Amino acid sequence: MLRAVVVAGLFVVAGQDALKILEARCAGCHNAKTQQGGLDLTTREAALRGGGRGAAVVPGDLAGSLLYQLAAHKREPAMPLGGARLSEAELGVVAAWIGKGAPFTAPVTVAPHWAFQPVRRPAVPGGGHPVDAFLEAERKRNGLVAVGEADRYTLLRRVYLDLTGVPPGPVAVRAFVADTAPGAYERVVDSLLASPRYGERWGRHWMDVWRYSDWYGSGAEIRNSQPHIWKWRDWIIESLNGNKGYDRMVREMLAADEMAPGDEGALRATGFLVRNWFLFNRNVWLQDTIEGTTAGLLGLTLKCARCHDHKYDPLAQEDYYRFRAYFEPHDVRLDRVAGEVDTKKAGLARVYDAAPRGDVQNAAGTFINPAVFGETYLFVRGDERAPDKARPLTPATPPALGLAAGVPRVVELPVSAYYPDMRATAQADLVAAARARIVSIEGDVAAARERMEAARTAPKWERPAGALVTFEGAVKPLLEARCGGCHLARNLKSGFNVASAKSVIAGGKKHGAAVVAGKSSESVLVRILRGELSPRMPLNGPLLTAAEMGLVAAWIDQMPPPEPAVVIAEAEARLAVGERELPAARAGLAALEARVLAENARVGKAADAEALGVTARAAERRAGALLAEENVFRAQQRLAEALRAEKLDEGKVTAARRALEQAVGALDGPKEGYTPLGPQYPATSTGRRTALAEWMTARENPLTARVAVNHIWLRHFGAALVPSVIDFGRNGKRPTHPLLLDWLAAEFMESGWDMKKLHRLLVTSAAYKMQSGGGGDNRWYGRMNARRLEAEAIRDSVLAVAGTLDGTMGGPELNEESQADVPRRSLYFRLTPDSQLTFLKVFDGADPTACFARTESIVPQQALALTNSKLTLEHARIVADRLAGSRDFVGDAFFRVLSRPVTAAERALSDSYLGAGTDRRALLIHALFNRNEFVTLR
Amino acid sequence: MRRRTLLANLGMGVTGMALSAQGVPGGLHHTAKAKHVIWIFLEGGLSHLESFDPKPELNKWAGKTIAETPHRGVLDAPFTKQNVVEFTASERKLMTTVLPLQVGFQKRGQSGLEISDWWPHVAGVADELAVVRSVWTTDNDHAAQLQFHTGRHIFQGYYPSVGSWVHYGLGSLNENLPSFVVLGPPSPPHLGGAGTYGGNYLGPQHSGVHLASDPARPLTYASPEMAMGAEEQKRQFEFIGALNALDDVSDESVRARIKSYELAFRMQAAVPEVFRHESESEVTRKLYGLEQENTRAFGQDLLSARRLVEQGVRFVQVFHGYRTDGNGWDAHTELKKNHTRLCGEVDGPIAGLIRDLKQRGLLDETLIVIGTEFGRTPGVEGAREGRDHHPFGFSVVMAGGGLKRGVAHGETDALGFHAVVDRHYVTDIHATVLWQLGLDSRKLNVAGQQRLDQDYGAPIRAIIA
Repeated sequence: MLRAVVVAGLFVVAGQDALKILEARCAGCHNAKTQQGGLDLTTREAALRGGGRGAAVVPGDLAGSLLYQLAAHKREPAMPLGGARLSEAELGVVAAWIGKGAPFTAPVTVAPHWAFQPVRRPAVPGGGHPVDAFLEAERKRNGLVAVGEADRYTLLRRVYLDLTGVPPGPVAVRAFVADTAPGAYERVVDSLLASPRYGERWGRHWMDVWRYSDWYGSGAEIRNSQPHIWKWRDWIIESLNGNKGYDRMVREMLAADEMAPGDEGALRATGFLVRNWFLFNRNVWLQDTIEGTTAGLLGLTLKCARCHDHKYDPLAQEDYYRFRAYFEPHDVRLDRVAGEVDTKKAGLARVYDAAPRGDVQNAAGTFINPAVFGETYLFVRGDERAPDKARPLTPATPPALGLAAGVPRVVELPVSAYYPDMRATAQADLVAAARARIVSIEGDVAAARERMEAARTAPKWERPAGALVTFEGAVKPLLEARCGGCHLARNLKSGFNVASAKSVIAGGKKHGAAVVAGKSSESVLVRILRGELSPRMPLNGPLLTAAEMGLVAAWIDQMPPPEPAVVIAEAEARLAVGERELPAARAGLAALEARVLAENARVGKAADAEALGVTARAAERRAGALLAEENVFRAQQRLAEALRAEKLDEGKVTAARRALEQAVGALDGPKEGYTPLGPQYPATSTGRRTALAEWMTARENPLTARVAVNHIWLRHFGAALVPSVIDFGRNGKRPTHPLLLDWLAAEFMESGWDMKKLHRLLVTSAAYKMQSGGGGDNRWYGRMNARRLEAEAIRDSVLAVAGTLDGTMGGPELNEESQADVPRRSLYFRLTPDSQLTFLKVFDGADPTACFARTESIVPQQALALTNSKLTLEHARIVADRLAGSRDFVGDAFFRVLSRPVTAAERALSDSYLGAGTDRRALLIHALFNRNEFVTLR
Repeated sequence: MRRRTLLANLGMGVTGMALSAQGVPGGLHHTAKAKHVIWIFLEGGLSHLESFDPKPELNKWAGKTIAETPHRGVLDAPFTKQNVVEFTASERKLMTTVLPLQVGFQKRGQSGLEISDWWPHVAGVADELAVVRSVWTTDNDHAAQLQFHTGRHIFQGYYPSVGSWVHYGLGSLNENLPSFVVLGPPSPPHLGGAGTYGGNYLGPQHSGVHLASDPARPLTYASPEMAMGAEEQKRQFEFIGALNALDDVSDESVRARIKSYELAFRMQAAVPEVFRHESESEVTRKLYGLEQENTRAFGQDLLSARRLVEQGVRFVQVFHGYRTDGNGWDAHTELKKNHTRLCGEVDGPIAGLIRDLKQRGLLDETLIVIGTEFGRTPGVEGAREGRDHHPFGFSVVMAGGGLKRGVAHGETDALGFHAVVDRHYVTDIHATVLWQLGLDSRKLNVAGQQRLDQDYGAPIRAIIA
C-alpha cells in the first residue's frame, strides 16, 4: 500500500508524464523481454501493435485503447494486475496522452529489478559496528532515535533463547551480571555459539525453511517423505555445530550423491530432496521439489510459472520446466546402513540419478514408486496430460537471473555408490544376519521342545483360591469407569476397547494381546496399569487403587491356560518346520558367502571370477531347493489347517494352495547365474544437480545469499529486511534496508558463507541489544522487537527451567503420542502434516508443508495449554521441590523461571498469593510459566 | 513492516482489539438471511442414486453395459476426462455395467420431491429441503473431502475452508465459545484432515475448533491434567492476570495475552456445558434419537450443534462416517448393507434437527447443508453389488437459512452419471452459504493471495427464496 502511495507521488513530481507512468506501473511486465500477454509497451510501434488481444493504444481513441480500458478498470482483467489501481489523476494523464496521439518522446526504459542484480558490496555509512551504521543512517533519515540498551538480565535471556533455544540458569545469570569486565557479553555469545544447543536451535529454524517432514501416509503405507529422514535433521544439526559453510550445505543438500558419493555422512543432506517424495504422482513430487528449492533457497516464486508465464516476474513458463529438468532424472532410494540389513529398521534415504523407467510395483503388485521420465516437456497450461512432446527441454536456470548455470558434466560413481551392498560393511552385515537367523531358529526349536516337555509334565490346572471374579460382574464396570473415556466405541484410542472380555484380551494396536491367561504379572493390561509399561494408564486420571488392581489381576489369574494337548500339538508343528528351516538357513548362509566371494571377484575383475561364479550358483541352487522344500512343507501345513477349520475360509484355502504351487515350482531353482547381493543402480550420474548447486552458490548468484541473510536476520530481530521472505520478485516487498541487506550478503559470501560469524556480527550490534517493548511500527529499528517464542522454545524452556531437559542429541524421531512425556528437545519429535506434539500445535509449531516464517498467534488454547497441561503442572511441582530449601522462595522462583530478580510489585502480589495455609508454592511456579514474559522473547 | 501478530480471538470475538473477529471491514456485503450454518458431511461418498437423485433407468438396464443402453453417450461426454484429476498414477476405471437401484423411492410431501426409502424421517420433512442434484468435483479419491471444503484438489495444496471464510467474514456472536466448531470424527489427515476446517492463510484464529461431544473432555487442555480444585484455579487465574497486568499494556500483544486468559477461563466453563444434554426434554432427546443405540452418537452431535447455534456459534461442521471404521459411506461392496446401516444412523437425527430448529423458530436463520465428497457410480464395481467413487455428478441437500423449500435443482443425465443441467462445482455451495449469511464470496479477498474463479464459486440463485 505504502509503496503505491510513494509511487503515485512521484508522478506529480515528474510533471505528469504518461511515459513515467508506463515505466513505473506497466513496463515491468510489458517490456520487450518479458512481454506478458505478448504486449510490449516500451516503444510506440510495439504499443500500437499491441499484444494477444490486439492494439493496446489507438491514438486519439480512448474507447479503442485497451491500455486505458484495463487501467481504468472498465474491462477485465483490471490492470495493473495485483497492484494498486492508477489514481484518477494518473488516468487523466494517460487519457490526455492518448488524446494527443500517444507520442513516445523516448523509449520507455525498464529499471532492472533489484533482487535479480548481483550483490555489490556497498560502503558502510560511517564508523562503528557496520549493522548499526546502516540502521542509524535510516533512523536519521526518518527522524528517529534508538532507545537504550536492555538491562543485563533481559539481554542474557534474549541471547540465550535466540542462540540456544533455552533460557539461562541462575548460575549463568549471576556470573554474567557479576562479570563487568569488557567483552563479557561477547564471551557469552562465543560460548553459546560453541554449545551443541546452538545447532539444535538453529537446526529447527532451517528445518522450517527447508520443509523438514518425517514420513507420512495412510496407516503403514508411506506416501510422502521417507523413513529414516531424521538423519537429514541430524546432518543439519551437526553441520551447524561444525560451522559448515551455508554454500556447502546447499551443495550437499542438492547433490551430495554426485559431489561426495562415498560419504555417507554427506549423503544424509539429500534428505532435502527426499522429503518431496510422493507415492502417487511424479509430477506432484517434482512440483514440490521445485517449490521447496526456489521458495526456500532463492526467494523466487517460480511455481507461479507452472501453468503460464509469471504474472509479475520475467519468468517464462518454459523457465519452470527447464528448472525442473535438473531434477528430472533423480529418484529416491533406501540404502542399508552399517549394523542393520533390514532397511525398514534402519537405512539411509537418499537421492541418485536413475535410468528412465516406468512405474515400479513390488512382488505383490502394489505400486511403490512412480516412473522416472527420460525427457522433460513443458505441460501446456500446466496440464500433465498435455506435454509438449515436440520440444524436449534441457536444464537451464532462469535467464532473468543473469548468471547462467554451467553445462552438466556426467559424474562417474564408485562401486559403493551404484552397488551399495558391495561395501565391506554391508557384506559383513548380510553374513552376520544369516548367521543370526540360524541361531534364532535353533532357539525357537529348543523353546518348542521345552514347551512340549513342560506341557507333558504339567499338573492339572486348578483355579487359584479366592472369590471368583467375572468380567461382567467386576472388571467391566471398573474398566469402563476408569478407561472408558478413551477406550470405548466413541473413542477407541489405539483400537483398544474395554466393552467385552474378548476385546480386552485382544488388546490394542500398540501392545497387542493385553492378557496372558493365568499370568497377570505378564499381562500388558496389568503392567500398563502398574506403570511397568509406558505410558502408565489411566493417562490423565488417578491410578487404580490396590483393591482395584487386585480385581483385574484375579480375573486374569483365574483364566485357565491352554490345554496341554493343544500346547504339545503346536510345539510339534513348530519342530517339524524347524527340521526343514535349519538346513535351508544353513545352506542359505553358505550360498551367501559364495555369492559374496563371486561378486567381489567379478567386480574386482579377478581371474577366478568365473569359477567362483559357478560355485556360487551351485550353492544357491542347493539353498534354493532346501528353501523350496521348507516352503512346500509350510504351505502344506497351512492348507491342512485351512481345510481343518470349522468355518472353511475359501480365500485362505486358495491362498494356501497357490503358495504350495509356487513353492513346488521353485524347487527347480534359478535357470542360470546367481542372485546379486542387492540392488544396482546406474554407474554414472547426470551431473545436473551439481551444475544447479554450483550455480546456486556462486558469488554472482543474485539471490541465494540475500535470501539466507534475510532468514537469519528475521530470526534474530523478529522482522525480516525483506518481509516477503519467499518472494524477492517484483510482487514481493522491497527491502527496508537494501544497502544493509547487500552488505550483509556480500560479507556473508566473502567470509566463506560462515554462519557463526554472521550470528556473532548481528547479536553483538547495538541494535540487537536495545530495549524492546511498546507498540507501533518499528521498521526503522528504533527498538528491539519483542515476539512470542516459538512452540519448541516454550516447551524446551519449561523442561530446562525444571532441570529435566534431556540433552541427548539426534536419533530416530520420537513418537509424539506415546513418548510425549520424554523430556527431550522438541525438534526430536515426529513432525508431519498429520502428527505433531499437541503442545506444539497450540503454539503454532512448524507446518512442514510451508513454514518460511512462523505464525505468532495469541489464542485462548495457549492459555489452556499453559494452565492445564501435565507438562507445566508437573514441572512446576519439580521446580518447587528443587527450591524446597530456599530462604527466599519468591525471589528464587522468579530468578529461576524468568532469569531475573523479582520486582517489588511482583513480590507483593506473590506474597499475598502464597499467603498462609494452603501450600501454593508449586502453583506460584506454575503461574510464572503463564507469565506473558515466559513465552516472550523480550 | 511489523511482523504478523494474530491476536486473541479464535472466533472468540475479542471486542476492542485491532484485529478482532468483528467480521469483514465495513460490515456485511448485503442483508443476511441466515446467521448460522450446520454443515453435515457424510464421509466416504453417499450414493446420490439411492438417496436424493433416483434413476429408474438403472432398473430398466440392470446388468447391461452402458454401451448397450440408449444412454451410451455418457461415456463420451466431455466431462469424463476434462475435469477429473487422477489421484493415483493409473486411471480409475469407469464402472460400466449398470447396477439397479438398491432401494425403492417415492414422491414425498406436497412438493413431491423424490427421496429413497432409506430416508423415511428425512422424507417426512421433504418440504423443507432444497436438493442440488448437479454437483461435481474433480478428485475421484477421498481427498475430495478436502476439495469439498476448500474448493481445491489436494494436489494444489491447502486453502481456507468454507467454515473459516464464514468465520473470517462474520466474526463471533458469543465470547465464551469458539465460533467455528467441528464435531464428530474428522476427515483423516491424508484425505484433508484439519485442512477441511483449516483457516490456512486466513490464520489459525479462523480455523474450526474440534470438540468431542463429551462433557468430561470436550477439548484438549479443557481441564487440568493433574488434580486442581476449581476454587484454587480461579484464584490462580486471578494471580496470573494480576502479574501480566504489570507489563506494558500499551503493547497490543500484552493486552491480547491478558484477554486470552480471561477467554480461556470462561471457555473452560462454557464448552463442557454445551455437551450436558440432561437438561433437554424427553421429547427432544427422542427427536434426536438419543434413546437408540445406532442413532445416539450422531444424534448427540446434532443436538450439540443446535445448542451451539442457540448460543451464537456461526458454523458447526459435523462429520459422520468414520466413527466406527475408516470406510464410512464408501460402499465399494454391498452398498445396500452399508447404506442401510448408515442411513439408519443419520436419517432420524437429521429430520429431528430440522423439526427441532423449526419449532424453535431457528430454521429460518440456520442454514443446514448435508454434503459428501462425491456420489457413487451408476455401474457396479466388482461382483458384490457395490458402487465406486463418482465425482461427475452428485447431490447436496440444504434446508432452512432462507432457501426455497421442497425444491430440487439441477439434473444429472438419465443414468445419474454426469451433472448435465445447471452444473455446480462444489464452491457454488460455498458461495450460496456465504450469500445467505450476507457475504459475497467475490469480495472475500486477502491481500497477497490470488483467488481463482473456481475458488469464489457463484451463489445458486435458483434455490434462494
